[in-house]
Amino acid sequence: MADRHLQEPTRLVLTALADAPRHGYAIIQEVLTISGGRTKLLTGTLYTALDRLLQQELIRVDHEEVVAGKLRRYFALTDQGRDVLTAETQRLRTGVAEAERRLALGRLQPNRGTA
Amino acid sequence: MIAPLPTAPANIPLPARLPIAARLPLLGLYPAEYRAAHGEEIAAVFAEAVQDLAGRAALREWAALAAHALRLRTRLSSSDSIGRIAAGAAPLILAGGAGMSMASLLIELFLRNPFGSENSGHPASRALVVAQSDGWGHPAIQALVVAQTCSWILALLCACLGRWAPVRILVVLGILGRIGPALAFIPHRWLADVLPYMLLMPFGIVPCALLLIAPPDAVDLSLRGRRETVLAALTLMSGAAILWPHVSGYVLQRRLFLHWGGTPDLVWLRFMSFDTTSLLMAIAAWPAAVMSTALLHHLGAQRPDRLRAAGIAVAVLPWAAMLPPPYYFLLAPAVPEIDSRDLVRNASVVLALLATATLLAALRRTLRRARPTDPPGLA
Repeated sequence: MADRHLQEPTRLVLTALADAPRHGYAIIQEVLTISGGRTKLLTGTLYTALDRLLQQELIRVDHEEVVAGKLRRYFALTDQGRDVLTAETQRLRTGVAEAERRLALGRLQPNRGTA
Repeated sequence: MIAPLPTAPANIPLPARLPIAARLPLLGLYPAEYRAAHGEEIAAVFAEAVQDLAGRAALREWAALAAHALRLRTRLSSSDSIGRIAAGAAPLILAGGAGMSMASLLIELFLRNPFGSENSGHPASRALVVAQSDGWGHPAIQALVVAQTCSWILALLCACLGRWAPVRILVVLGILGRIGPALAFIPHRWLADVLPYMLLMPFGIVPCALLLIAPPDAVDLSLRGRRETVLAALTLMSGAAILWPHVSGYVLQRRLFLHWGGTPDLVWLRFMSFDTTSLLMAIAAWPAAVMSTALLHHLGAQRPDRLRAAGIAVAVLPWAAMLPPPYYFLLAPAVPEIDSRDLVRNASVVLALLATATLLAALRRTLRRARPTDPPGLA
């Protein structure tokens, strides 16, 4: 698992569960917020990801409750899921830092490559 | 068609107005066990997700859930072994189809006569003239080749960009582009004879169906995975582009002398310095060799995903049914001597390559385990 980076929907679902357990529709809403409105998870995509993450033991069912007649099943990160998200975050951070470093270098040499 | 909501359990209050998609059958598509465990929850989330959506967006929501249900029912999800095997095979099936398409395009448009101009004096050049009089090289044929190949090449480009949904659409177009012309030629008996091969071949219906059913979320679209797919396609194309024109030359030469009532093999040996059978085997074995190398690479990793490795092996198998494309011209009624030994030979080569890759990977893992670990501080 660690040598393959996460696909975006998976990463967004794990991120949505990083601070608190959430139910299905709340995860969809949270992913929309996290992605700045760019990623609207389809219900089918969400449950495909949830099934796989449950099987990989990266998430678990935290609790269930019935609200206004609707069953809410809350999902939470497992310790392993937290580790995977931490590793992925570190990987992304490294990439971002490198991109920033190179951009900064490019700004210091504005005429490079135009001669 | 207005019907009571068959998809939602009775105890879930649904909004008064729901898009028509919410009235389509849904929960019934799920396996009973999964429906019992998750049906109520999924119905609730779906109802909330579609309540503010217009018809088309709601239909998209329904389609995604229906696909999820059908994958679970058919055990083709990313949580199932078969789904993961298909996902392991899909990138290499794509690489195979795209690589051969690129080679085909390259040869048809740029390398059509590897033996120089018509007046070069080379016997195969004259053979090309005869072939062209039969219809080869006609702009319509060239347009057909471009149409057949471009969808595969575009599919590879989409995979490069990490977009799997358009890959599947383009592969469907690629299959239709191959089957359509083949069906049009069915009255010609010789093509009808080879039609099963066209369907089974590495970029025929059966392997492509495997690509289409692969769960998108299990297909390796990481940067590394995409690089491997493109590298496999380019390697495959390079070998095919180098070998294919020579085989084409042989086939054309053979046709020319059949046309004249000559003895093609003798004439062939007169101007080509290497054995034709070996050449034909090489072009058939080359794609399988490239993909077996991918299998070796994957199995030799620190923690290989065995199901993905099985998928790679499955992607190699269709090449056993692969006759070099120009070989089809040898299947014309005038040359009836081709028999099933060619297929058996191809299958043997492919299986031998797979076995070699697996054994080498096992050996590599054994050696790695046997190597003593350096004590800390010595590095």
